[in-house]
Amino acid sequence: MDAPLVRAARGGSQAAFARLVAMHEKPLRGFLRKSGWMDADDIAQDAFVAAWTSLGRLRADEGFRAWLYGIAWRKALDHRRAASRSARRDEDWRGQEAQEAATGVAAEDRMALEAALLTLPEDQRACVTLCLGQGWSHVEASQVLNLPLGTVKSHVARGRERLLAVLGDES
Amino acid sequence: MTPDDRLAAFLGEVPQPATSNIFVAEVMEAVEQRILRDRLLAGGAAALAASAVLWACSPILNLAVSALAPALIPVGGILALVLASAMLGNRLLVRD
Repeated sequence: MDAPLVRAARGGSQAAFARLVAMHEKPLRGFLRKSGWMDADDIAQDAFVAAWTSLGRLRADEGFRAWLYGIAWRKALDHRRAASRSARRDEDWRGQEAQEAATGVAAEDRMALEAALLTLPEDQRACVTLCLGQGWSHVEASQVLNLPLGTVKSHVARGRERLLAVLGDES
Repeated sequence: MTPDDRLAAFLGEVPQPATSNIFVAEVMEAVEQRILRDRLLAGGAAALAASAVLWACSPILNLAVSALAPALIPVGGILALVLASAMLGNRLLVRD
């Protein structure tokens, strides 16, 4: 689905790239936010700009999504090292979280899950978000996060267990 | 809704659509800035390379100019005369 747009964007079409951004920005920002990055939008923006400049290096056009998430994850790790936080972005993010609360999960579940999610290690949080939240396969997640497949599987299983325990399900 | 469904719903949440248009616009603005920066860098590099080439060739160019200049003086004079007449003629035509 991405391949024709990727080819057009590689040829210099900004319109095609804008469509790619529009298609992927929500899940990518969602992934980064759930993975605990307060400056998720900045990271996502950096990742898209980096993707634009290095589109020529993408080998398989169909693999755009995984490639983009890989860039974003590395950017996120770089951002953590830089440790710069924007108060305005943080406020925006909290506001949007409140908006999201109205659409899905019950408030008490949300608060408990958010607290529990923050207690998970960074890699585990990312694995859980990608595999349980966005339906990625373990193989895809291991490629994007540059983790062994077995580690991803165990992160997902343990993370799921801990989060379900918060919801009162010990299975 | 099973606990697994609630968990998947929470983890799969995405930002509100209202913020998406702003985000896409911000990304495309950053992309355009990057394109402009790259073009400026490429233009600067090309200008630098051209000036280095001209500087390296300057002895030969000086010789060529000094050799050709005497022959080009009459041609330049004629061209200046033609240009001046054309401009004057054009002004007269506009007045009429």
